[in-house]
Amino acid sequence: MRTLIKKGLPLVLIFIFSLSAQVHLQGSLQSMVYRWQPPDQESLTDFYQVLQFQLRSNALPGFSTRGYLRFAYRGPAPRWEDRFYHLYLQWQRTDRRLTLRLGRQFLYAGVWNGTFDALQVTWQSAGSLNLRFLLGSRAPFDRQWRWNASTEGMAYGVYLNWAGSSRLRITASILHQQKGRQLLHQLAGVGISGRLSRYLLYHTNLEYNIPGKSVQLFRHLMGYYREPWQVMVEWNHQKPRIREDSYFQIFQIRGFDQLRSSVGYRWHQWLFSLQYLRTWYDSDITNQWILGCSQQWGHVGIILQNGFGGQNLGVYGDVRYPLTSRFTLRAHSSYYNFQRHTVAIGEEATAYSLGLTYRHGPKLQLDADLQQSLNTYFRNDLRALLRLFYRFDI
Amino acid sequence: MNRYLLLCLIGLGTGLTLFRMGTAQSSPQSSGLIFSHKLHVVENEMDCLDCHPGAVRSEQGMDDLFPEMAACGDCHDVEAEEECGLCHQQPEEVALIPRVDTYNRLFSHRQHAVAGLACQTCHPRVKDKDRVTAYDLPDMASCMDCHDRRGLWTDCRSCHLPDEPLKPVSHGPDFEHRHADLARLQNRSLTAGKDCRLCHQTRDCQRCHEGDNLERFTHPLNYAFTHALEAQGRQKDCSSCHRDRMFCVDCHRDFQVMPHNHVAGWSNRIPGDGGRHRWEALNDLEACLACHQSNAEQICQPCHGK
Repeated sequence: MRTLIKKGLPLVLIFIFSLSAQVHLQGSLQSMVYRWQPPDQESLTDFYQVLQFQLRSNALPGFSTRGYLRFAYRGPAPRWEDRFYHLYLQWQRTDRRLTLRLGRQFLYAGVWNGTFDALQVTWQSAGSLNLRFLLGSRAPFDRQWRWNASTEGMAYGVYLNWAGSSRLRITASILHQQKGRQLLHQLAGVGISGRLSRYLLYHTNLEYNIPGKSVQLFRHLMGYYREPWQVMVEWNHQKPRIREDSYFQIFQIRGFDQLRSSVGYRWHQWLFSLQYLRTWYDSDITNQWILGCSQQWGHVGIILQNGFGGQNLGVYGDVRYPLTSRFTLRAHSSYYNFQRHTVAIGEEATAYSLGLTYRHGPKLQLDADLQQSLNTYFRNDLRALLRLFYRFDI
Repeated sequence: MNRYLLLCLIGLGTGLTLFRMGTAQSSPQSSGLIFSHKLHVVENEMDCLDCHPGAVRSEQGMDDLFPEMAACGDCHDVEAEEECGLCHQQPEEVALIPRVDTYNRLFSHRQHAVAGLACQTCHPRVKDKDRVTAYDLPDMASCMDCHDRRGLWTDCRSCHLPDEPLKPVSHGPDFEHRHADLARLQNRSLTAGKDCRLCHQTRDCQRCHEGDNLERFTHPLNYAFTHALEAQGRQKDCSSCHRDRMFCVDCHRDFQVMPHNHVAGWSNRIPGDGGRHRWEALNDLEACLACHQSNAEQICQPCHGK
């Protein structure tokens, strides 16, 4: 009962907030039924209910509550599971210069990456400076509604973004995560990006592990975007992210280096592309080539990989074709012929999916999907998804 | 052979570029029309609807709201041949103003007029134009900003039909990898002046990064068999979504699946050797962390005492 009250508390707060006058509630509901069969088990029918909303009240100008929640009744021994992807209360000054956000929020800025239960303060100067402060804790990995400081400790950070001109933008950020007196993570990052000319772009990003005194990530890319061409070259060095309290700290921590390049050419509605990736590990190399062709309603690609990890030749295709303004046909297929480096036998994996989307006006959408996979373990794994999407505006 | 291939590629590229240049579209300026909105609207205090009466009735973006010459005839003598030069630079070669082809099919001028919006709200620079220049059309950011401020829908499908090509040019072949940097840096110069939030909301990020993947949008079916290859190919960074490594061990434990490389010869106690697991750990320690984050002390400590 206590758990129910604790988990229901946010919804109760939202309900109370909504009782105030002149409330504007906007959002969507998604109901999904998914039928599938795990290995060596009976078929299962899982149910998912997703709620996304934004609540504002004219009585409380500047305030809003935003949420994205998922409830599921699934598994071999079905039970209700909840996930709170984000749920926060926000206050924003009328001129949008100052924003306060309290609650669970998904952050992606500099070295801040992930979902936090925190207070975030954002200040936007009249010029081009954006400054943010964060204080809280990482959300539990299962996204249940509970305070996770006992496992993930407390986190605080600062993020600064200065956009001088289109030629230069600088970001600087730091994130410190500590449990009791034990430091878990301390990362600092700097990003510089902009345009060297109208068509030539650059971006350099560095993340530094302060306690480890080592570069966690370094990425530099140059891009040339001039219709119909798109060319990009990137150098990437990255190390595994390991907590300071992890047992793995006793090992030599080595990263990998990667060269990544891509060329795209747009011809009318068609985009032809070729990507090449070469990854250097401590004592091995991986190569990947990806050839693709896409249109507004579809995409086909060929992937070829060899080296560390194994070999793979894959072909995949994806179609989203509007039959009418109400019906869209969706189809996907992939075929992979691969051999993992530790298993000296070739394997094949084929997948198909066929779906239809029906839109009844802008508010209601119905999707039906049939998914099938054939591989070393399943001669025929057939799954079905039925999804009802409803948008509301009260 | 290589030189021949290179020449073919250069030839193909040049040909396609020239073809594109040849199909360039005409602009309002190229019509040769002489017209000053400033003269009509500001100096003669005319109302927009005097020339564009259809605007308040128009229900869809494709409606042509440009006035016909007959509308000019209400004030001007359009029959008088000697006055053609008043509006047309080259009366003998009159060209029509090219139709706006970037319209939004679902856009209703009527709906916006009923909501009390003045024409200048979306076309603020028109009244000050003293000659025919590029169209003064609102960009999507202004639409979104206005809708957001008024608490109106900002979903793509509120204004766009399913068959409209909405993907910007920046969403090229490597975009799945590069979007992270763009989102992190929030540098509009790298995204053709657009902010991610113009089209996407946080839930769109979370749908892929944290969602249930029932539509197989993030990872295709069969991914359970090919994920190790992809992880070691490093096309995607697994840890950008799966920071919580319990995710990996949960699945391997639930389905009682040992990783394929954990076979005979995987580890030994020969000093300086360690078997294959040593080699793999030096190459990719993240793969070990994926399952052994929580039980490293039990698994590793007997040999690698702290």
